[in-house]
Amino acid sequence: MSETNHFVMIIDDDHDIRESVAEILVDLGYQPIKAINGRDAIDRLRSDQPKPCVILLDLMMPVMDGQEFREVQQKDATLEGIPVVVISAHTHADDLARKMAVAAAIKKPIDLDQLMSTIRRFCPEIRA
Amino acid sequence: VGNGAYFMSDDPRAAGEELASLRRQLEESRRNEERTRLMVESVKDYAIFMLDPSGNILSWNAGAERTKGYTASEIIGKHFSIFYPEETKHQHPREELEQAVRDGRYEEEGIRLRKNGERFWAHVVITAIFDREGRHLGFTKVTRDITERRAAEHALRLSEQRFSVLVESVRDYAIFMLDPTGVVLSWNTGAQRIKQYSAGEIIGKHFSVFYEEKDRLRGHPAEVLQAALDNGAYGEEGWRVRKDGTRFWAGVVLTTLRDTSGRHIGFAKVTRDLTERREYEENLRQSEERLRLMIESVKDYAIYMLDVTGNVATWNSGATKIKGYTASEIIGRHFSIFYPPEDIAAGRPARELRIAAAEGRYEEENHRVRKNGEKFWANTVLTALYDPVTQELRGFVKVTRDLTERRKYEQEARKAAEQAGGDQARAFEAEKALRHRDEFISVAAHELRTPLTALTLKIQGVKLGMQHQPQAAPAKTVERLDGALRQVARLSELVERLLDVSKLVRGKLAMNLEPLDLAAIARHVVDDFSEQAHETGTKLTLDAPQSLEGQWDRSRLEQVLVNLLGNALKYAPGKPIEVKVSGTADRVHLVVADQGIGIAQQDLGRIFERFERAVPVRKYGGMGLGLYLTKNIIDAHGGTIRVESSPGKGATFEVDLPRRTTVQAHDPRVNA
Repeated sequence: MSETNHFVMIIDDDHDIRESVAEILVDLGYQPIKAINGRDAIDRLRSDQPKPCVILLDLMMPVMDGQEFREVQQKDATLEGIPVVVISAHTHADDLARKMAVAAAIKKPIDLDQLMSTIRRFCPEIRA
Repeated sequence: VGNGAYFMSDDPRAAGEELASLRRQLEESRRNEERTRLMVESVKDYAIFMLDPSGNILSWNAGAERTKGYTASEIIGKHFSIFYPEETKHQHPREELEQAVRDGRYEEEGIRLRKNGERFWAHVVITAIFDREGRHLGFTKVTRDITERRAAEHALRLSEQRFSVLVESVRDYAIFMLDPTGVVLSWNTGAQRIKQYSAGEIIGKHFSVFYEEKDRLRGHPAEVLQAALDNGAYGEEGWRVRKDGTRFWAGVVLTTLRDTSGRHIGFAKVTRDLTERREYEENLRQSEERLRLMIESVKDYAIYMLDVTGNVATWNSGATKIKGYTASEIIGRHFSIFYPPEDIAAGRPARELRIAAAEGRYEEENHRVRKNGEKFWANTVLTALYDPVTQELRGFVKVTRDLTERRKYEQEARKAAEQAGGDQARAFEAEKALRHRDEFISVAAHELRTPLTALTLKIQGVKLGMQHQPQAAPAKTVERLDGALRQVARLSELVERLLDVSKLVRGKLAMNLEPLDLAAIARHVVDDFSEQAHETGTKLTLDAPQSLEGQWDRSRLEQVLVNLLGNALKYAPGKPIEVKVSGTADRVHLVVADQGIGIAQQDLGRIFERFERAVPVRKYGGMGLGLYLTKNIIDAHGGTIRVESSPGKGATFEVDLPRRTTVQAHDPRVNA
């Protein structure tokens, strides 16, 4: 559990969603890194904290939204390799995800099975 | 023949020789006198004549005849006062002669008369003649007609005066002279107006005072003088300084002045205040820049230029959005790429260019094709651009609007209008309402999905826990179920708000008044937000007295606080937020102040309207109902809400409420 690639980042400005996802991540055996918007996420990713194996990204957020976060991430050589999964209530989330060239998109309300299988695509399985 | 005495020799031969010599000398002298007389007589430009001691004319020459008009026989013997006009003839002639006798000579310029009565300007010299014994023999008088010279001088003086008055009175140009070293020698009204110095203040000072310090330090005034000296004249535009220290944009021309011998005697300097022209040009440049930025940022219209042959020359973000091509993909390509193949085959793109070139403009609504091949319904306007001078065709501006959505609404609205009886205005209103409704439903669905997502996650978490750790402590499950219930409450709240809006639209906002303590409610709401404030690093402070009692609707008053505080946290995360409640005998006051992004002036008026938001939905979600409901709740309590804000400076919302509400009867929308 101490390996760096067991970290999963959740970026969402909504407190309840962020905490709920984090709780489930803990249940699944991952260590959540919580960020309240894109700016906060970038700051955490650039700190000396371990890098996550996947980033769960909300789109609509104040200060720095999901698309802006993605632009900054892609321009940063140390961060561009981290896969991003868009989680959005946006009606056109799929289109947006394609435009942003992210690894996957999950629509809100989140289907837990879809979330788990998506995370497992990028992070080593912790438990069966 | 000198003045000395003649001494006769005793020697008769010598005496004879002396006599012969004397005769020769006398003869010589007579010939001289004759030559002089002939010469005097023939002088035409000067009247030269002799007077006896009392002023009677003794001789007359050709110049006198020509100047005065009298012949010798007419005038000889007459008194010379005949040449004087009436106003001077009784005194001047006598005085002049007396002065000539006294001083040997009298000279003046004055008016004289010709025989025909005409006046002329004369330069007169009267010389008294004495013989060897000092007896007064008379006078010679030399008179010159200087009328023309006087006229020329007068004309010159007049023109100099006029020019000086002209220069003096010019207001729009500072016109002044500098000596060769740059010291100010003269000053006009325009110079005073533009530079603010009076003539007395500036004459004698060096002209470098008109320059900015940095120009003075780099020696620019001397450079300007040298440039004018080298080239005869020098012109430039630049900043100059007025007496009060303010700057103006000046157009300056310096001309080197030389006298007839070519000696450098100074400079003429003409300065014009071009500040307004510069401001105009600067404004023009800025407005062009703004226009360019505006066009680039327009998202709902594709606005781009075509060259004369129809190749795309510019591209804006609306064009990218509507057509799907980026600027680098499309610039240089022919615009027929936007047409369906059948239109290209029919030669429509070329035809449209021809019509626009001939008539100036071509407009149509038709199908166009996006980059991904999708057809869409578009309104296009093609405008020809001509060179304003040569009238030559420069290219075209094309504006394309995607009408797919509008077409859909029009069809719906037409249907609605048909049901409403076909009224145009009502059809328009119906279309607008439909559009608002659709936007609102989309935003509301998004808002509902957020707590729904959290709720689902909580319940799934419970299920997950049950599956994987059925024997784990029930405390965690209880915690998750609490979280699930919070989301249910949040959903209910949203549904309530939607219903409130629906009631407001129909004029039915129910009020349930009861005795309440606003200070306690504020403490409770601020407490609820403290966790969220802590997470975003926001310092949230409350300034409230022990209690503030009044009659209000509890849930609605809470809603006001939640809306204002929620907005502050949403738009000013990480910045201090202050909540203050206070009261007077019959009123209470609530202030929520943040230091966030603030609200633009033009948006302040509409933020209390339904579905309005002053920020993009992409960044800041929300239904656009919070402030609308807040205002209506406060209205229903008979209170007022106002906001003070400017972009980047945060926003301060101030609510004023009566402790006891009496207004319900005043507001038609409120029904207790």
